[in-house]
Amino acid sequence: MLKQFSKLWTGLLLVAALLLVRQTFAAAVSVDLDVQPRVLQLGEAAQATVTVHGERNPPPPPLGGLPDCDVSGPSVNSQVSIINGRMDQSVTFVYQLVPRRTGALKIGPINYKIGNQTLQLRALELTVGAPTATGTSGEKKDTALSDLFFARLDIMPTNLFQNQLFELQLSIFHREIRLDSSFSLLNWQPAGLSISAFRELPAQRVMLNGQVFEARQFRCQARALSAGPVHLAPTVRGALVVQRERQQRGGPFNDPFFDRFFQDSLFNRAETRPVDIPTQPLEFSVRALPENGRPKDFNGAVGQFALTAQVKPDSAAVGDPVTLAARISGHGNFDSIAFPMLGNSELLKTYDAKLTAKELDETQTRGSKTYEQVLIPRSLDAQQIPAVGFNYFDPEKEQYVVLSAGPFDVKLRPAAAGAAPLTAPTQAAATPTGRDIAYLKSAPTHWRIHDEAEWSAPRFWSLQAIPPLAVVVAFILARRRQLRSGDVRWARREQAPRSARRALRTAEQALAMSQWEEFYEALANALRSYFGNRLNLPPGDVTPDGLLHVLQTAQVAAALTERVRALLELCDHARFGQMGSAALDREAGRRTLQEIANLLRNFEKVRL
Amino acid sequence: MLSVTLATGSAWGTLTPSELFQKAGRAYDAGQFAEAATNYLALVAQGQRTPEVYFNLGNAEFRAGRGGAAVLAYRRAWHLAPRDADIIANLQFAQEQTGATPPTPASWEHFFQSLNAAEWRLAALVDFWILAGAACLALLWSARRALFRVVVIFLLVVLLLALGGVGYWFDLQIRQPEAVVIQPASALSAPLVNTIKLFALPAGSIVHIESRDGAWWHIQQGARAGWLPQSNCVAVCSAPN
Repeated sequence: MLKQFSKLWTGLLLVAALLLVRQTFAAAVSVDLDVQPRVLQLGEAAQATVTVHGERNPPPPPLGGLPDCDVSGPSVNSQVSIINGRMDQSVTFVYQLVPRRTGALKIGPINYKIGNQTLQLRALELTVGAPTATGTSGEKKDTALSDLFFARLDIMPTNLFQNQLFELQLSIFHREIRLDSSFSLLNWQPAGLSISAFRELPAQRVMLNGQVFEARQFRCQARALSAGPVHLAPTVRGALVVQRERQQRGGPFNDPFFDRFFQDSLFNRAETRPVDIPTQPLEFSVRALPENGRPKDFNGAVGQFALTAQVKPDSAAVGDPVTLAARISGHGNFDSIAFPMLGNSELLKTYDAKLTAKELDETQTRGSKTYEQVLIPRSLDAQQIPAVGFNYFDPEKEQYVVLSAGPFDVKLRPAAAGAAPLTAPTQAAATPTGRDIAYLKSAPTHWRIHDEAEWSAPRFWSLQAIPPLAVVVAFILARRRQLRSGDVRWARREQAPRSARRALRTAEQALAMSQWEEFYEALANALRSYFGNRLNLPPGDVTPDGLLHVLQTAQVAAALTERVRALLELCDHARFGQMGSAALDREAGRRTLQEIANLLRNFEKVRL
Repeated sequence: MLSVTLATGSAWGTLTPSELFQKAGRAYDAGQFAEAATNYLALVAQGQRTPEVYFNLGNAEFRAGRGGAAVLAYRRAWHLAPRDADIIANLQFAQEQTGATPPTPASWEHFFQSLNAAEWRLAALVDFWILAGAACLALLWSARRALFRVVVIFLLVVLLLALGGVGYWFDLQIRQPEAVVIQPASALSAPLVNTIKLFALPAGSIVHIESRDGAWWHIQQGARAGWLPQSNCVAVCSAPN
């Protein structure tokens, strides 16, 4: 069993190795040569990279014998990658090329022999400029700042028509100085031009007047809205990157190593200073679109366009809608494009066209627009939908181009029974039969000068303050009620006079019916309930002695305290039959009732 | 010209609005549509900006062959009575006759157009008072607080919608974004006379004013936009003339 498994495993490994070898050798051998930078100064080095694909151990390419260049290297780098199951092996040789002279230096083509194959490295050209004043020798000449950096505006193409799209390029050149990556355009309000946002192109080196410049390039799409001369003179503001001057002569440790450390470190960072980059003004002229040959229905489209159209469905009943779809594609001012609509006719009823699809690039100048128009055949004679036309001005050909699509055949069948007939409009009857505007309205019920002032009158707005005020009052009341329900002492204090009044009324009724026991019971209740609630005492604690103790503690006047005690005792004596007949006199009872009422009224003014 | 205006002005001054309205109606019935329109305009100048006056003015302008002015009057009438079937029908009919494309409002605009400015204001006002009452009851009637809380929330939503309606019409009146093309015109690609014509605007087209630049308006109609001379159109909510 183990032996069989080992055989199987070995077989699988062999198959995998064979596949690997097959993949490796299946790939064709190819080479590529690149040199960067292509524009350089004498004394600078360029890097030549030769990449060999599909060969594991290629020999070094024969770059050593290049004329006019000192060549050093190569350094070799191998890379294996597997993408989508396909293995790619590449070997890269990197050389340093130092030109020996100025001017154009040609590199290649070079024959490169790998195994049995002889491949050719493509020919390249290096542009070598004279060294700058500080480039090699370190001597600094007096150089005008404008020679070190400047900006330029260019348009492509230069022969422009009104509404023609063109490219506007801003190039910023600089050498021997560092400019920050951000720029801003001042005084940039080009009247009569419609301009899209600038996008940056890859940076490159260029040779200008024998000097090597770093070039930053920005490009946008533009369109002249009207004919005439155009003058553009913006100010390009950039930021010059300069090394911050050292504050101290010599490093803190007076040592070259530390000096260099502090010079290069955060302690001595670069800083930027705003600078206006001299810009050459750009003047050009925009021609008006020619009158000669202009179609009557020209709507201002300028560029190169194509028109396709179709009608769906290709068979329908009279009165059923069919759709005419037209697609205009190409490059130009798409915002000026209008659908070539068909108008109403005796045979066709037409509706407004609608834009159904818009596929344009980010500049809105290249792509397509699709429109649809609903048509209704009025009779069986409308078997053929007329052709639609679209015209535009081609600035390259400098002439108007008329495109057309159609006519379109539609198989028509009679309308279904009961369908409303579609009458063709005629010149004599512009208004459809049976339809007209509604007749005049009768006079309004009230004639009143329309005035908005009533809505802004102070009286009106002051009235509107009532609802929020009512809500505020309700809120305060609800809050008080909530507090009362939570504070027993306060609630009983509020309840005290009410409970006493209730008891006194009961006493008054008992007195009227000469029910003496009930009368004095009610009087005693009045006193007990008042003081019980007022002092928040439990019901059992409202005894004459207990009450006197509390009142004395509260420093109530002795006369009042004594009177309370006397009245309580009187009531108790009367209730329990310890009173003489004199006490059962109605007049005496009324006096007692009045005295208790007065006493409680007095206690309402006393702070307990 | 000046003397004619003064004489006409004095004649209007002696007539009550009711008499002037009847006079305009008689002129209309007699086929003197221009005179009828002048009389209705006099009523508007007096401050009688009612749907009836604007509607009849629209009819007179339409019969006089001024489709753009008719649409303008109908649109003003519709602003005051947006549910009036006659106004809607005549506005649509006038636009059909001039070839103008009717505006296609969004669904939220449809909702706010269901009532006019005064109706939204009244709705907001009534709801505001009822809301305050319900809030008071919710605070004081603790046994029914849950019920009143629901009522308050409902009324609050209604109030917000009503305020939205008030804001919608207020915006139309203050910003005046709506205009009617009086004379057939073409929208241009730039606010310059000799620029490209982008699309045609028949008289009676209702456009949305995006911005104003001196004597030029940048307008939008559906998905299309362009520049129009201000003299070609009149803002619907502008001071009547």
